[in-house]
Amino acid sequence: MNQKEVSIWVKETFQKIMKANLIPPVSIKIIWAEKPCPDDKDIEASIQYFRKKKTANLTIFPIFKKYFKEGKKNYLQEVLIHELSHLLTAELEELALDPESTPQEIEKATERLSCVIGKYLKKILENKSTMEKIHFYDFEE
Amino acid sequence: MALEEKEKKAAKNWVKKIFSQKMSPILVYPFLDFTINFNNDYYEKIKPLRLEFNPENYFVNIYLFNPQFINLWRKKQKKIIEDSLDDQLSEIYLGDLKSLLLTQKEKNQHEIEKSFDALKGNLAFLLKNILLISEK
Repeated sequence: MNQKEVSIWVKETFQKIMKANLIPPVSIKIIWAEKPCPDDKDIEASIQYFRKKKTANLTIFPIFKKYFKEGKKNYLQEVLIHELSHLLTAELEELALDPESTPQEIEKATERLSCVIGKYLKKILENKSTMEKIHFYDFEE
Repeated sequence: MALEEKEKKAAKNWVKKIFSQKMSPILVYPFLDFTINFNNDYYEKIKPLRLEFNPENYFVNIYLFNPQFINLWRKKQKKIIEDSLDDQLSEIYLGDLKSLLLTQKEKNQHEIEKSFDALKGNLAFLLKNILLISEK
């Protein structure tokens, strides 16, 4: 296993997500970090999104490659999806943390995000399939 | 029991059944339980119902608005009621974020960040399952 193999898999995963139109159009640059994340050594990946430029940098930490080597692809796919979910919340998050944003701007952004979530929920409800829980939570079965 | 009370009880039971069916596959953290109540004095004059996430106890309160709800119920327009429910399921995914951002004057950055983390987790859950559907 080398970095190229991981890189191909990450790009394929992104393509699947983009093909399903689940995230806004974005050009993603992958950065391979040589050291663990300084804030939290357990973090596998981290995304920095430049919403107005429609670009993002995805930093992949060494632990990601370790898990890939151990065959934890399902978990790593969830990690990537989680990082990509930042793209959906970015606008509202920027406004929420900006002291100069107006309640009207926040309300509109909340409404937009609410519509996106509603669209996704409808897809799932129309499909009537059994949902698969993700590993981030300790769901009580 | 008066006829209207019987009608209301039947309607509440139906909403309970439909909502439970929908929430069973799409349950998200930290949603816990829900209540259903009729409301005749609310400002809402068009929608038959409203879902409201209560950040205090993590319950979802479902308000059925009269007369519009009961009028639809009597006309057997269950599809319209169900669609209205579907349109508002996102409230549960937004969790306490909406009340944090839209109602609280003093915004606590740590609380907001925590709420966004929960939202991203919920979104990841949705995205993963849509991806599984699209791969079928």
